[in-house]
Amino acid sequence: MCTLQAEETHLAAMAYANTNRDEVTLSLFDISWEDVLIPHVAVHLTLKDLFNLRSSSRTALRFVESALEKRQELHLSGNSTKNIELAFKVMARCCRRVESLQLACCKWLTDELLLPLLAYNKQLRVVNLNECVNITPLALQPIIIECKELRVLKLSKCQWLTTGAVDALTLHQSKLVEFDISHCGAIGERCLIIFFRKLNRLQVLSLAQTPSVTDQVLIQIGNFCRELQHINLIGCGAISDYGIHAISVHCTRLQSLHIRRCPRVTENSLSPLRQRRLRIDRPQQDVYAYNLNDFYPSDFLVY
Amino acid sequence: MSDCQNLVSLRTSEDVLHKIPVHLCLQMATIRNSLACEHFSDTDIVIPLPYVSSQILEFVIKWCEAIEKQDTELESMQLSILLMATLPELEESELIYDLMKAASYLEIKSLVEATAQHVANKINACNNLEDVRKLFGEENDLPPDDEEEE
Repeated sequence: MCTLQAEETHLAAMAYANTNRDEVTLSLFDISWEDVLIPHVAVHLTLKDLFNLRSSSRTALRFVESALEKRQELHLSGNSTKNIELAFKVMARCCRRVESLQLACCKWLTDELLLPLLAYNKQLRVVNLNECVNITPLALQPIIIECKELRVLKLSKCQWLTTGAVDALTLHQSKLVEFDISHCGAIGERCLIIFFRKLNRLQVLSLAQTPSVTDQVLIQIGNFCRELQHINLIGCGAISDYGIHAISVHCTRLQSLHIRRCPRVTENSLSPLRQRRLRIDRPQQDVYAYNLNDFYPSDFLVY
Repeated sequence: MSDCQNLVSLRTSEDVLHKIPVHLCLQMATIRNSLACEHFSDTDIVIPLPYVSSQILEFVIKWCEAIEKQDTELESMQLSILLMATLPELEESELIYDLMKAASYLEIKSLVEATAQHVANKINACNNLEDVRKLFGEENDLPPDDEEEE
């Protein structure tokens, strides 16, 4: 039922109530839903508040479902309460204008639960599926193909992410501003090289613990992602000063660099960045320390 | 307008006439738009407010006076705090909904925000279903199956 119909149903019910002016007391749901309650009251209510309200009466249920229809942000990251799957089914049925979908660490989330929500919400701008370990690339498909306004996509620790899904992203999504595929071990170097050629607007990137990130990938990032401001390369053991230098030269807007546990990256490439006042997570090394590129990389030699 | 002392005549739902300073009325977009109309500015016209009672209008005027004293624009939570400080009698009263309705009708954005945040805070303070029903005086008319699902 759309918001207008729900409100009219409530007004019709009021019309049959006692019409003696002296006895009518105004209740919350007599205030305009479209003009006041939804844009000004419902926006301040958490999902928990909304679901409590929804369960209190028929009128409240209609109101909450009308409010969910217009809700722009769904924030369920870390939520694993008892009836969360039931609540999510209600949201999938009602929500029509979601722009920001925060579902990090929702291990209960499956394709079956997520796909209905995605079918009715194609204007998503922010999608956070970090650590959603029980969904598959099938759930990602409508996001990649239909969501033309997508700007932020977070898929950290989504081990199910395949090269094919990244290829699909390359074809359909070139306006991403923030992208996180840290800890995604199944992505190959070649597909990353092609992918970053398209992401000219990228500003925030996390590739932490992604073994296929090499100097060649960093060169592509340097050549094509000139707007880059923040990059996380923690644990990318294959990269060296060569790749960092490529980013350093071309990404002139860079503000922060996370580079711990990258034993082949030394002060040779980091010093120029420190002079640019970049925030670098690794403290400056002693100039007399061994050049780690002369040795086989080993974690204990670093810190 | 009524006279050269810059007062506006407003007639409430009980047919009571109130003369309110123009500078306060200008916070109400509905009244402001009426005053901008040439017909109103030239003649001694009374602006009717059929959906606003005298009691509520007094609350509205107190609010407008409080807002005029603020140096900066306030956020919703600050507006809600100011509302309770200005009109403490609303705390235990159901007149908050009448005030919210009047604020919407008169298009006073700050008062709509303040009353809306106040109501949202009350809902947030409810710990369970019974608290919510008690807050709004709602009866449980959901079919048993729906209630179990919740």
